[in-house]
Amino acid sequence: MANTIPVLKLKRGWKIALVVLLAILVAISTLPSYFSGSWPWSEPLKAPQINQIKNISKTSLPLPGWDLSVQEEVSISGNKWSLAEYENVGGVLDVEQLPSLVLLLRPQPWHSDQPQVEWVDLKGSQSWQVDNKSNLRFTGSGENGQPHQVTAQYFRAVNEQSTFAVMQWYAWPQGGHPSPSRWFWADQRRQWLKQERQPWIAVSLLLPIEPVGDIRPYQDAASAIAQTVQTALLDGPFAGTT
Amino acid sequence: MATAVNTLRNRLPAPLSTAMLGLLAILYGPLLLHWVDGWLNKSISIQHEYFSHGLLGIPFAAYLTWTYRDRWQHLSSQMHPAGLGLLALATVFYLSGLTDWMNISFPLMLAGLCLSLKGLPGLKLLGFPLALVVFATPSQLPYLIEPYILPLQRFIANVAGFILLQGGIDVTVQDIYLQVNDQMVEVAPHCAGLKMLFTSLYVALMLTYWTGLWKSRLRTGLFFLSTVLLSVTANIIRNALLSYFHGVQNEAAFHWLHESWGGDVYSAIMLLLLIVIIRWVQQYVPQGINMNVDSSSAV
Repeated sequence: MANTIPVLKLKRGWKIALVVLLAILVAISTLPSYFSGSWPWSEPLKAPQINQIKNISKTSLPLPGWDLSVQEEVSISGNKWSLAEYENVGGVLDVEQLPSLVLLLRPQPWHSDQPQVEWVDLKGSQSWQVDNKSNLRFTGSGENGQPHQVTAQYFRAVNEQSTFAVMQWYAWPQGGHPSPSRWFWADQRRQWLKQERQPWIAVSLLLPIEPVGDIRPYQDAASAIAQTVQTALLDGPFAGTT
Repeated sequence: MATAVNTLRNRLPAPLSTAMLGLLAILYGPLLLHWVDGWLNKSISIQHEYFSHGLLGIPFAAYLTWTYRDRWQHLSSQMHPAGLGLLALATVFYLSGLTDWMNISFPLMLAGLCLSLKGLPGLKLLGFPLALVVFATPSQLPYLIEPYILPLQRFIANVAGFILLQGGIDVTVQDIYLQVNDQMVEVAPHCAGLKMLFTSLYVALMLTYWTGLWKSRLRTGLFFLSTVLLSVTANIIRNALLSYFHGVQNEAAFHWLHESWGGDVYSAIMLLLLIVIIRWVQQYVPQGINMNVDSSSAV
Protein backbone atom coordinates (compact mmCIF):
# COMPACT_ATOMS: atom_id res chain seq x y z
CA MET A 1 0.00 0.00 0.00
CA ALA A 2 2.78 2.33 1.00
CA ASN A 3 4.46 1.47 -2.31
CA THR A 4 1.56 2.14 -4.62
CA ILE A 5 0.78 5.65 -3.48
CA PRO A 6 4.02 7.35 -4.64
CA VAL A 7 3.72 5.64 -8.05
CA LEU A 8 0.16 6.87 -8.38
CA LYS A 9 1.30 10.36 -7.45
CA LEU A 10 4.08 10.26 -9.99
CA LYS A 11 1.66 9.32 -12.73
CA ARG A 12 -0.73 11.99 -11.66
CA GLY A 13 2.17 14.44 -11.59
CA TRP A 14 3.07 13.51 -15.15
CA LYS A 15 -0.47 14.07 -16.33
CA ILE A 16 -0.49 17.43 -14.54
CA ALA A 17 2.75 18.32 -16.34
CA LEU A 18 1.11 17.58 -19.69
CA VAL A 19 -1.89 19.73 -18.83
CA VAL A 20 0.46 22.54 -17.77
CA LEU A 21 2.37 22.24 -21.05
CA LEU A 22 -0.85 22.54 -23.04
CA ALA A 23 -1.99 25.45 -20.86
CA ILE A 24 1.28 27.31 -21.49
CA LEU A 25 0.91 26.73 -25.22
CA VAL A 26 -2.64 28.10 -25.07
CA ALA A 27 -1.53 31.12 -23.04
CA ILE A 28 1.37 32.18 -25.23
CA SER A 29 0.07 31.22 -28.64
CA THR A 30 -3.68 30.76 -28.83
CA LEU A 31 -5.19 33.23 -26.38
CA PRO A 32 -3.66 36.32 -28.06
CA SER A 33 -5.27 35.15 -31.31
CA TYR A 34 -8.64 34.69 -29.59
CA PHE A 35 -8.45 38.26 -28.29
CA SER A 36 -7.14 39.90 -31.45
CA GLY A 37 -9.22 37.71 -33.76
CA SER A 38 -6.30 37.40 -36.18
CA TRP A 39 -5.12 33.85 -36.89
CA PRO A 40 -2.08 32.82 -38.89
CA TRP A 41 -4.36 31.67 -41.71
CA SER A 42 -6.40 34.87 -41.84
CA GLU A 43 -3.31 36.66 -43.10
CA PRO A 44 -1.32 34.35 -45.37
CA LEU A 45 2.38 35.12 -45.79
CA LYS A 46 3.37 37.50 -48.56
CA ALA A 47 6.06 37.34 -51.20
CA PRO A 48 8.34 40.40 -51.05
CA GLN A 49 8.38 42.93 -53.95
CA ILE A 50 5.46 41.18 -55.65
CA ASN A 51 4.50 44.22 -57.73
CA GLN A 52 8.04 44.72 -58.95
CA ILE A 53 8.14 41.02 -59.92
CA LYS A 54 4.73 41.06 -61.59
CA ASN A 55 5.71 44.10 -63.63
CA ILE A 56 8.42 42.19 -65.44
CA SER A 57 6.32 41.99 -68.61
CA LYS A 58 6.15 45.80 -68.72
CA THR A 59 9.67 46.74 -67.70
CA SER A 60 12.29 45.20 -69.95
CA LEU A 61 15.15 43.14 -68.60
CA PRO A 62 18.52 44.53 -69.74
CA LEU A 63 21.03 41.82 -70.74
CA PRO A 64 24.63 43.02 -71.21
CA GLY A 65 25.80 42.23 -74.76
CA TRP A 66 22.23 41.93 -76.05
CA ASP A 67 19.77 44.47 -77.49
CA LEU A 68 16.07 44.09 -76.82
CA SER A 69 14.20 44.13 -80.14
CA VAL A 70 10.65 42.99 -79.33
CA GLN A 71 8.76 42.56 -76.09
CA GLU A 72 5.14 41.57 -75.63
CA GLU A 73 2.82 39.80 -73.23
CA VAL A 74 1.60 36.45 -74.52
CA SER A 75 -0.91 33.98 -73.14
CA ILE A 76 0.22 30.38 -72.76
CA SER A 77 -2.44 27.93 -71.51
CA GLY A 78 -4.28 30.87 -69.99
CA ASN A 79 -1.21 32.20 -68.14
CA LYS A 80 0.55 35.47 -68.90
CA TRP A 81 4.17 35.22 -70.01
CA SER A 82 6.52 37.98 -71.08
CA LEU A 83 8.08 37.21 -74.44
CA ALA A 84 11.21 39.19 -75.37
CA GLU A 85 13.57 38.89 -78.33
CA TYR A 86 17.16 40.07 -78.08
CA GLU A 87 19.78 40.69 -80.79
CA ASN A 88 23.39 39.83 -80.16
CA VAL A 89 25.49 43.03 -80.30
CA GLY A 90 28.70 41.07 -80.03
CA GLY A 91 29.72 42.04 -76.55
CA VAL A 92 30.18 38.62 -75.08
CA LEU A 93 29.27 35.90 -77.52
CA ASP A 94 29.97 35.23 -81.18
CA VAL A 95 27.33 36.94 -83.35
CA GLU A 96 27.82 34.42 -86.15
CA GLN A 97 27.02 31.52 -83.88
CA LEU A 98 24.12 33.10 -82.00
CA PRO A 99 22.57 36.13 -83.68
CA SER A 100 19.49 36.27 -81.45
CA LEU A 101 17.67 34.73 -78.51
CA VAL A 102 14.17 34.54 -77.10
CA LEU A 103 13.48 34.97 -73.40
CA LEU A 104 10.16 33.80 -71.95
CA LEU A 105 9.46 34.79 -68.35
CA ARG A 106 6.50 33.99 -66.18
CA PRO A 107 6.48 35.87 -62.89
CA GLN A 108 4.36 34.48 -60.08
CA PRO A 109 0.85 35.98 -60.47
CA TRP A 110 0.24 36.62 -56.75
CA HIS A 111 1.62 35.92 -53.28
CA SER A 112 0.44 32.36 -52.78
CA ASP A 113 0.84 31.07 -56.35
CA GLN A 114 3.35 28.24 -56.58
CA PRO A 115 5.25 26.92 -59.62
CA GLN A 116 3.14 24.25 -61.28
CA VAL A 117 3.29 22.83 -64.78
CA GLU A 118 4.89 25.79 -66.60
CA TRP A 119 7.23 23.56 -68.62
CA VAL A 120 4.47 21.22 -69.76
CA ASP A 121 2.28 24.20 -70.70
CA LEU A 122 5.04 25.77 -72.76
CA LYS A 123 5.94 22.51 -74.47
CA GLY A 124 2.26 21.87 -75.28
CA SER A 125 1.58 25.36 -76.60
CA GLN A 126 4.64 25.27 -78.90
CA SER A 127 4.09 21.65 -80.03
CA TRP A 128 7.70 20.91 -79.19
CA GLN A 129 9.37 17.56 -79.67
CA VAL A 130 11.85 17.44 -76.81
CA ASP A 131 15.04 15.39 -76.67
CA ASN A 132 18.67 15.39 -75.42
CA LYS A 133 17.53 16.48 -71.98
CA SER A 134 20.19 17.14 -69.36
CA ASN A 135 20.82 19.36 -66.35
CA LEU A 136 23.35 22.20 -66.46
CA ARG A 137 24.72 24.03 -63.47
CA PHE A 138 25.90 27.61 -63.33
CA THR A 139 26.70 30.18 -60.68
CA GLY A 140 24.55 33.24 -60.20
CA SER A 141 25.43 36.32 -58.22
CA GLY A 142 23.12 38.99 -56.93
CA GLU A 143 23.25 42.61 -55.86
CA ASN A 144 25.24 41.83 -52.74
CA GLY A 145 27.63 39.72 -54.80
CA GLN A 146 26.92 36.48 -52.97
CA PRO A 147 27.35 33.62 -55.45
CA HIS A 148 24.81 30.80 -55.53
CA GLN A 149 24.27 27.59 -57.51
CA VAL A 150 21.54 27.39 -60.11
CA THR A 151 20.50 24.25 -61.95
CA ALA A 152 18.66 24.44 -65.28
CA GLN A 153 17.32 21.81 -67.62
CA TYR A 154 18.86 21.94 -71.07
CA PHE A 155 17.25 20.27 -74.06
CA ARG A 156 16.50 20.48 -77.76
CA ALA A 157 13.02 21.59 -78.77
CA VAL A 158 11.92 21.01 -82.34
CA ASN A 159 8.66 21.97 -84.01
CA GLU A 160 7.64 22.55 -87.61
CA GLN A 161 8.97 26.11 -87.72
CA SER A 162 12.12 26.11 -85.62
CA THR A 163 14.70 24.35 -83.52
CA PHE A 164 15.84 25.71 -80.16
CA ALA A 165 18.41 24.90 -77.55
CA VAL A 166 16.35 25.57 -74.40
CA MET A 167 17.40 26.39 -70.83
CA GLN A 168 14.66 26.32 -68.20
CA TRP A 169 14.61 26.99 -64.49
CA TYR A 170 12.53 28.51 -61.76
CA ALA A 171 14.54 31.49 -60.54
CA TRP A 172 14.35 32.78 -56.99
CA PRO A 173 16.66 35.05 -55.01
CA GLN A 174 19.74 33.01 -54.10
CA GLY A 175 18.84 30.01 -56.21
CA GLY A 176 17.10 28.30 -59.09
CA HIS A 177 16.06 24.83 -60.24
CA PRO A 178 13.71 23.40 -62.88
CA SER A 179 11.89 21.24 -60.33
CA PRO A 180 8.99 22.82 -58.35
CA SER A 181 9.94 20.69 -55.33
CA ARG A 182 13.32 22.48 -55.03
CA TRP A 183 11.50 25.80 -55.01
CA PHE A 184 9.13 24.32 -52.42
CA TRP A 185 11.91 23.61 -49.92
CA ALA A 186 13.54 27.00 -50.58
CA ASP A 187 10.10 28.48 -49.89
CA GLN A 188 9.76 26.55 -46.63
CA ARG A 189 13.17 27.75 -45.51
CA ARG A 190 12.20 31.36 -46.19
CA GLN A 191 8.87 30.92 -44.39
CA TRP A 192 10.62 29.68 -41.24
CA LEU A 193 13.46 32.20 -41.33
CA LYS A 194 11.80 35.35 -42.66
CA GLN A 195 8.07 34.78 -42.30
CA GLU A 196 7.57 35.45 -46.01
CA ARG A 197 7.12 33.47 -49.21
CA GLN A 198 9.89 32.71 -51.67
CA PRO A 199 9.20 34.74 -54.83
CA TRP A 200 9.78 33.01 -58.16
CA ILE A 201 9.95 33.59 -61.90
CA ALA A 202 9.77 30.79 -64.46
CA VAL A 203 12.57 31.35 -66.98
CA SER A 204 12.71 29.79 -70.43
CA LEU A 205 15.68 30.78 -72.54
CA LEU A 206 15.40 29.83 -76.24
CA LEU A 207 18.47 29.84 -78.47
CA PRO A 208 17.53 29.43 -82.15
CA ILE A 209 19.88 26.94 -83.82
CA GLU A 210 20.05 25.31 -87.25
CA PRO A 211 17.07 23.02 -88.07
CA VAL A 212 17.26 19.79 -86.06
CA GLY A 213 20.85 20.70 -85.14
CA ASP A 214 23.09 19.45 -82.38
CA ILE A 215 22.70 21.40 -79.11
CA ARG A 216 25.98 20.31 -77.52
CA PRO A 217 28.11 23.05 -79.09
CA TYR A 218 25.77 25.65 -77.56
CA GLN A 219 26.05 24.33 -74.02
CA ASP A 220 28.65 26.84 -72.80
CA ALA A 221 26.91 29.77 -74.47
CA ALA A 222 23.58 28.69 -72.95
CA SER A 223 25.12 28.55 -69.45
CA ALA A 224 26.76 31.94 -69.93
CA ILE A 225 23.52 33.62 -71.06
CA ALA A 226 21.56 31.87 -68.30
CA GLN A 227 24.01 33.32 -65.81
CA THR A 228 23.48 36.79 -67.29
CA VAL A 229 19.71 36.34 -67.05
CA GLN A 230 19.85 35.16 -63.42
CA THR A 231 22.01 38.15 -62.48
CA ALA A 232 19.69 40.54 -64.34
CA LEU A 233 16.71 39.08 -62.46
CA LEU A 234 18.43 39.56 -59.11
CA ASP A 235 19.33 43.15 -59.94
CA GLY A 236 15.90 43.87 -61.43
CA PRO A 237 12.65 42.22 -60.29
CA PHE A 238 14.24 40.47 -57.30
CA ALA A 239 16.08 43.60 -56.09
CA GLY A 240 15.55 44.08 -52.38
CA THR A 241 14.32 40.54 -51.71
CA THR A 242 17.48 38.98 -50.31
CA MET B 1 -14.16 1.11 1.87
CA ALA B 2 -11.11 2.07 -0.17
CA THR B 3 -12.35 0.08 -3.16
CA ALA B 4 -15.76 1.73 -2.98
CA VAL B 5 -14.14 5.15 -3.09
CA ASN B 6 -11.99 4.06 -6.01
CA THR B 7 -14.97 2.80 -7.99
CA LEU B 8 -16.79 6.03 -7.37
CA ARG B 9 -13.75 7.99 -8.48
CA ASN B 10 -13.53 5.93 -11.67
CA ARG B 11 -17.09 6.78 -12.58
CA LEU B 12 -16.59 10.50 -12.34
CA PRO B 13 -14.96 12.12 -15.34
CA ALA B 14 -11.32 12.66 -14.45
CA PRO B 15 -10.75 16.40 -14.05
CA LEU B 16 -7.30 16.19 -15.63
CA SER B 17 -8.58 14.37 -18.72
CA THR B 18 -11.36 16.92 -19.07
CA ALA B 19 -8.85 19.76 -18.75
CA MET B 20 -6.64 18.16 -21.39
CA LEU B 21 -9.50 17.73 -23.85
CA GLY B 22 -10.63 21.28 -23.18
CA LEU B 23 -7.17 22.69 -23.82
CA LEU B 24 -6.87 20.65 -27.02
CA ALA B 25 -10.19 22.08 -28.16
CA ILE B 26 -8.98 25.63 -27.46
CA LEU B 27 -5.69 24.98 -29.27
CA TYR B 28 -6.97 23.20 -32.35
CA GLY B 29 -10.66 24.14 -32.51
CA PRO B 30 -10.09 27.29 -34.58
CA LEU B 31 -7.68 25.42 -36.85
CA LEU B 32 -10.22 22.66 -37.47
CA LEU B 33 -12.92 25.25 -38.15
CA HIS B 34 -10.55 26.81 -40.66
CA TRP B 35 -10.15 23.39 -42.35
CA VAL B 36 -13.91 22.84 -42.50
CA ASP B 37 -14.48 26.34 -43.85
CA GLY B 38 -11.88 25.72 -46.56
CA TRP B 39 -13.41 22.37 -47.53
CA LEU B 40 -16.99 23.61 -47.63
CA ASN B 41 -16.30 26.89 -49.40
CA LYS B 42 -13.31 25.71 -51.46
CA SER B 43 -11.68 28.92 -50.30
CA ILE B 44 -8.11 27.97 -49.43
CA SER B 45 -6.06 26.18 -52.03
CA ILE B 46 -6.20 23.18 -54.31
CA GLN B 47 -3.70 21.42 -52.03
CA HIS B 48 -6.05 21.93 -49.08
CA GLU B 49 -9.04 20.67 -51.05
CA TYR B 50 -7.34 17.33 -51.61
CA PHE B 51 -8.13 16.51 -47.99
CA SER B 52 -11.82 17.40 -47.96
CA HIS B 53 -12.62 13.76 -47.12
CA GLY B 54 -11.72 14.86 -43.59
CA LEU B 55 -15.30 16.16 -43.36
CA LEU B 56 -16.29 12.48 -43.11
CA GLY B 57 -13.15 11.04 -41.61
CA ILE B 58 -12.47 13.30 -38.64
CA PRO B 59 -15.96 12.96 -37.09
CA PHE B 60 -15.72 9.21 -37.70
CA ALA B 61 -12.34 9.15 -35.95
CA ALA B 62 -13.82 11.08 -33.01
CA TYR B 63 -16.71 8.64 -32.81
CA LEU B 64 -14.40 5.61 -32.87
CA THR B 65 -12.23 7.13 -30.14
CA TRP B 66 -15.33 7.65 -28.03
CA THR B 67 -16.29 3.98 -28.41
CA TYR B 68 -12.79 3.01 -27.27
CA ARG B 69 -12.92 5.05 -24.04
CA ASP B 70 -13.41 2.06 -21.73
CA ARG B 71 -10.56 0.11 -23.26
CA TRP B 72 -8.41 3.26 -23.05
CA GLN B 73 -9.08 3.62 -19.35
CA HIS B 74 -8.20 0.00 -18.73
CA LEU B 75 -4.74 0.43 -20.26
CA SER B 76 -2.07 0.96 -17.63
CA SER B 77 -0.54 4.42 -17.53
CA GLN B 78 2.93 4.46 -19.02
CA MET B 79 5.08 6.85 -20.96
CA HIS B 80 6.97 6.09 -24.15
CA PRO B 81 9.90 8.48 -24.70
CA ALA B 82 8.95 8.96 -28.37
CA GLY B 83 5.82 10.65 -27.06
CA LEU B 84 7.91 13.48 -25.64
CA GLY B 85 9.65 13.93 -28.99
CA LEU B 86 6.32 14.15 -30.79
CA LEU B 87 4.94 16.61 -28.23
CA ALA B 88 8.03 18.80 -28.60
CA LEU B 89 7.75 18.70 -32.40
CA ALA B 90 4.03 19.46 -32.27
CA THR B 91 4.72 22.43 -29.98
CA VAL B 92 7.44 23.84 -32.26
CA PHE B 93 5.20 23.46 -35.33
CA TYR B 94 2.28 25.06 -33.51
CA LEU B 95 4.39 28.01 -32.39
CA SER B 96 5.83 28.50 -35.90
CA GLY B 97 2.62 30.29 -36.87
CA LEU B 98 2.95 28.77 -40.36
CA THR B 99 -0.40 27.26 -41.29
CA ASP B 100 1.06 24.26 -43.16
CA TRP B 101 3.06 23.26 -40.10
CA MET B 102 0.32 24.07 -37.58
CA ASN B 103 -1.84 21.60 -39.52
CA ILE B 104 0.79 18.89 -39.11
CA SER B 105 1.10 19.75 -35.43
CA PHE B 106 -2.44 18.45 -34.83
CA PRO B 107 -1.91 14.71 -35.54
CA LEU B 108 1.56 14.93 -33.96
CA MET B 109 0.09 16.32 -30.75
CA LEU B 110 -2.60 13.60 -30.64
CA ALA B 111 -0.11 10.80 -31.26
CA GLY B 112 2.32 12.36 -28.76
CA LEU B 113 -0.38 12.44 -26.08
CA CYS B 114 -1.32 8.79 -26.74
CA LEU B 115 2.31 7.73 -26.31
CA SER B 116 2.87 9.92 -23.26
CA LEU B 117 -0.24 8.72 -21.42
CA LYS B 118 -0.55 5.04 -22.33
CA GLY B 119 2.65 4.18 -24.18
CA LEU B 120 2.69 2.00 -27.28
CA PRO B 121 -0.50 0.09 -26.33
CA GLY B 122 -2.30 3.45 -26.29
CA LEU B 123 -1.01 4.36 -29.74
CA LYS B 124 -2.00 0.92 -30.99
CA LEU B 125 -5.50 1.17 -29.58
CA LEU B 126 -6.15 4.54 -31.24
CA GLY B 127 -4.04 3.72 -34.32
CA PHE B 128 -6.91 3.63 -36.77
CA PRO B 129 -8.63 6.88 -35.73
CA LEU B 130 -5.19 8.52 -35.69
CA ALA B 131 -4.54 7.26 -39.22
CA LEU B 132 -7.85 8.81 -40.29
CA VAL B 133 -6.72 12.14 -38.83
CA VAL B 134 -3.25 11.90 -40.41
CA PHE B 135 -4.66 11.25 -43.89
CA ALA B 136 -7.13 14.12 -43.50
CA THR B 137 -4.55 16.67 -42.35
CA PRO B 138 -4.09 19.25 -45.12
CA SER B 139 -0.47 19.35 -46.23
CA GLN B 140 1.54 20.27 -49.30
CA LEU B 141 2.07 16.60 -50.14
CA PRO B 142 -0.17 16.70 -53.24
CA TYR B 143 1.95 19.57 -54.55
CA LEU B 144 5.06 17.45 -54.22
CA ILE B 145 3.38 14.39 -55.76
CA GLU B 146 1.81 16.16 -58.75
CA PRO B 147 4.93 16.24 -60.97
CA TYR B 148 5.16 12.45 -60.74
CA ILE B 149 1.70 11.68 -62.06
CA LEU B 150 2.35 13.04 -65.56
CA PRO B 151 2.24 9.48 -67.01
CA LEU B 152 -1.25 9.04 -65.50
CA GLN B 153 -2.35 12.35 -67.03
CA ARG B 154 -1.02 11.23 -70.43
CA PHE B 155 -2.77 7.87 -70.12
CA ILE B 156 -6.11 9.48 -69.22
CA ALA B 157 -5.81 12.01 -72.08
CA ASN B 158 -5.10 9.20 -74.54
CA VAL B 159 -7.94 6.92 -73.45
CA ALA B 160 -10.42 9.81 -73.25
CA GLY B 161 -9.32 10.80 -76.77
CA PHE B 162 -9.83 7.25 -77.97
CA ILE B 163 -13.35 7.13 -76.52
CA LEU B 164 -14.29 10.43 -78.14
CA LEU B 165 -12.97 9.16 -81.50
CA GLN B 166 -15.22 6.10 -81.21
CA GLY B 167 -18.13 8.51 -80.70
CA GLY B 168 -17.31 10.10 -84.05
CA ILE B 169 -15.84 13.25 -82.55
CA ASP B 170 -12.76 14.68 -84.20
CA VAL B 171 -10.20 14.88 -81.44
CA THR B 172 -6.42 15.26 -81.35
CA VAL B 173 -4.45 14.14 -78.34
CA GLN B 174 -1.09 15.73 -77.68
CA ASP B 175 0.70 14.85 -74.48
CA ILE B 176 -1.81 15.84 -71.78
CA TYR B 177 -3.94 18.00 -74.06
CA LEU B 178 -7.19 17.05 -75.74
CA GLN B 179 -8.15 19.17 -78.71
CA VAL B 180 -11.76 19.16 -79.92
CA ASN B 181 -12.80 21.69 -82.59
CA ASP B 182 -9.66 23.79 -81.91
CA GLN B 183 -10.53 23.98 -78.20
CA MET B 184 -7.76 22.73 -75.93
CA VAL B 185 -8.46 20.94 -72.68
CA GLU B 186 -5.55 20.18 -70.40
CA VAL B 187 -5.71 17.11 -68.18
CA ALA B 188 -4.21 18.90 -65.15
CA PRO B 189 -3.04 16.87 -62.12
CA HIS B 190 -6.14 17.52 -60.05
CA CYS B 191 -8.29 16.89 -63.15
CA ALA B 192 -6.46 13.61 -63.64
CA GLY B 193 -8.32 12.52 -60.55
CA LEU B 194 -5.57 12.61 -57.97
CA LYS B 195 -8.05 14.19 -55.60
CA MET B 196 -10.77 11.68 -56.43
CA LEU B 197 -8.23 8.88 -55.99
CA PHE B 198 -7.27 10.20 -52.56
CA THR B 199 -10.90 10.52 -51.50
CA SER B 200 -11.82 7.05 -52.81
CA LEU B 201 -8.90 5.42 -51.02
CA TYR B 202 -9.79 7.23 -47.82
CA VAL B 203 -13.44 6.20 -47.98
CA ALA B 204 -12.32 2.67 -48.89
CA LEU B 205 -10.17 2.68 -45.75
CA MET B 206 -13.16 3.69 -43.64
CA LEU B 207 -15.35 1.05 -45.28
CA THR B 208 -12.84 -1.79 -44.78
CA TYR B 209 -12.75 -0.91 -41.10
CA TRP B 210 -16.48 -0.46 -40.73
CA THR B 211 -17.35 -3.78 -42.42
CA GLY B 212 -14.49 -5.74 -40.85
CA LEU B 213 -13.15 -6.46 -44.34
CA TRP B 214 -9.59 -5.75 -43.15
CA LYS B 215 -9.50 -9.13 -41.43
CA SER B 216 -9.05 -10.74 -44.84
CA ARG B 217 -5.97 -9.63 -46.71
CA LEU B 218 -7.27 -11.01 -50.02
CA ARG B 219 -10.55 -9.11 -49.79
CA THR B 220 -8.88 -5.90 -48.69
CA GLY B 221 -6.32 -6.09 -51.49
CA LEU B 222 -8.99 -6.73 -54.12
CA PHE B 223 -11.17 -3.97 -52.75
CA PHE B 224 -8.39 -1.38 -52.85
CA LEU B 225 -7.39 -2.50 -56.34
CA SER B 226 -11.01 -2.10 -57.53
CA THR B 227 -11.13 1.31 -55.88
CA VAL B 228 -8.09 2.51 -57.82
CA LEU B 229 -9.41 1.07 -61.09
CA LEU B 230 -12.85 2.57 -60.55
CA SER B 231 -11.36 5.96 -59.78
CA VAL B 232 -9.18 5.99 -62.90
CA THR B 233 -12.02 4.76 -65.13
CA ALA B 234 -14.42 7.35 -63.80
CA ASN B 235 -11.86 10.03 -64.49
CA ILE B 236 -11.39 8.96 -68.06
CA ILE B 237 -15.13 9.29 -68.59
CA ARG B 238 -15.18 12.64 -66.83
CA ASN B 239 -12.31 14.03 -68.91
CA ALA B 240 -13.87 12.75 -72.12
CA LEU B 241 -17.11 14.54 -71.22
CA LEU B 242 -15.24 17.72 -70.28
CA SER B 243 -13.33 17.79 -73.58
CA TYR B 244 -16.54 17.17 -75.46
CA PHE B 245 -18.40 19.98 -73.68
CA HIS B 246 -15.48 22.32 -74.19
CA GLY B 247 -15.14 21.32 -77.86
CA VAL B 248 -18.78 21.92 -78.73
CA GLN B 249 -18.59 25.21 -76.77
CA ASN B 250 -21.15 24.10 -74.22
CA GLU B 251 -19.59 26.27 -71.51
CA ALA B 252 -22.50 25.83 -69.09
CA ALA B 253 -22.17 22.03 -69.08
CA PHE B 254 -18.38 22.31 -68.82
CA HIS B 255 -18.57 24.52 -65.75
CA TRP B 256 -21.28 22.40 -64.20
CA LEU B 257 -19.12 19.28 -64.35
CA HIS B 258 -15.79 21.01 -63.77
CA GLU B 259 -16.34 23.17 -60.74
CA SER B 260 -20.05 23.42 -59.95
CA TRP B 261 -22.22 20.83 -58.21
CA GLY B 262 -21.92 18.46 -61.18
CA GLY B 263 -18.53 17.54 -59.80
CA ASP B 264 -20.09 16.77 -56.42
CA VAL B 265 -22.75 14.57 -58.01
CA TYR B 266 -19.97 12.75 -59.86
CA SER B 267 -18.06 12.24 -56.59
CA ALA B 268 -21.17 11.04 -54.78
CA ILE B 269 -21.90 8.44 -57.49
CA MET B 270 -18.28 7.27 -57.29
CA LEU B 271 -18.45 6.83 -53.54
CA LEU B 272 -21.78 5.00 -53.70
CA LEU B 273 -20.23 2.61 -56.21
CA LEU B 274 -17.57 1.83 -53.59
CA ILE B 275 -20.32 0.50 -51.31
CA VAL B 276 -21.63 -1.65 -54.16
CA ILE B 277 -18.14 -3.02 -54.76
CA ILE B 278 -17.51 -3.82 -51.11
CA ARG B 279 -20.80 -5.74 -51.03
CA TRP B 280 -19.68 -7.77 -54.06
CA VAL B 281 -16.32 -8.45 -52.49
CA GLN B 282 -18.00 -9.65 -49.29
CA GLN B 283 -20.37 -11.86 -51.25
CA TYR B 284 -18.17 -13.42 -53.91
CA VAL B 285 -14.58 -13.29 -52.68
CA PRO B 286 -13.45 -15.93 -50.16
CA GLN B 287 -11.68 -14.89 -46.96
CA GLY B 288 -8.48 -16.39 -48.28
CA ILE B 289 -7.23 -18.87 -50.81
CA ASN B 290 -6.85 -22.30 -49.26
CA MET B 291 -4.58 -24.55 -51.25
CA ASN B 292 -5.91 -27.93 -50.12
CA VAL B 293 -4.04 -30.46 -52.12
CA ASP B 294 -5.85 -33.75 -51.95
CA SER B 295 -3.12 -36.34 -51.59
CA SER B 296 -5.31 -39.26 -52.63
CA SER B 297 -6.04 -37.76 -56.03
CA ALA B 298 -2.43 -38.18 -57.00
CA VAL B 299 -2.90 -41.94 -57.30
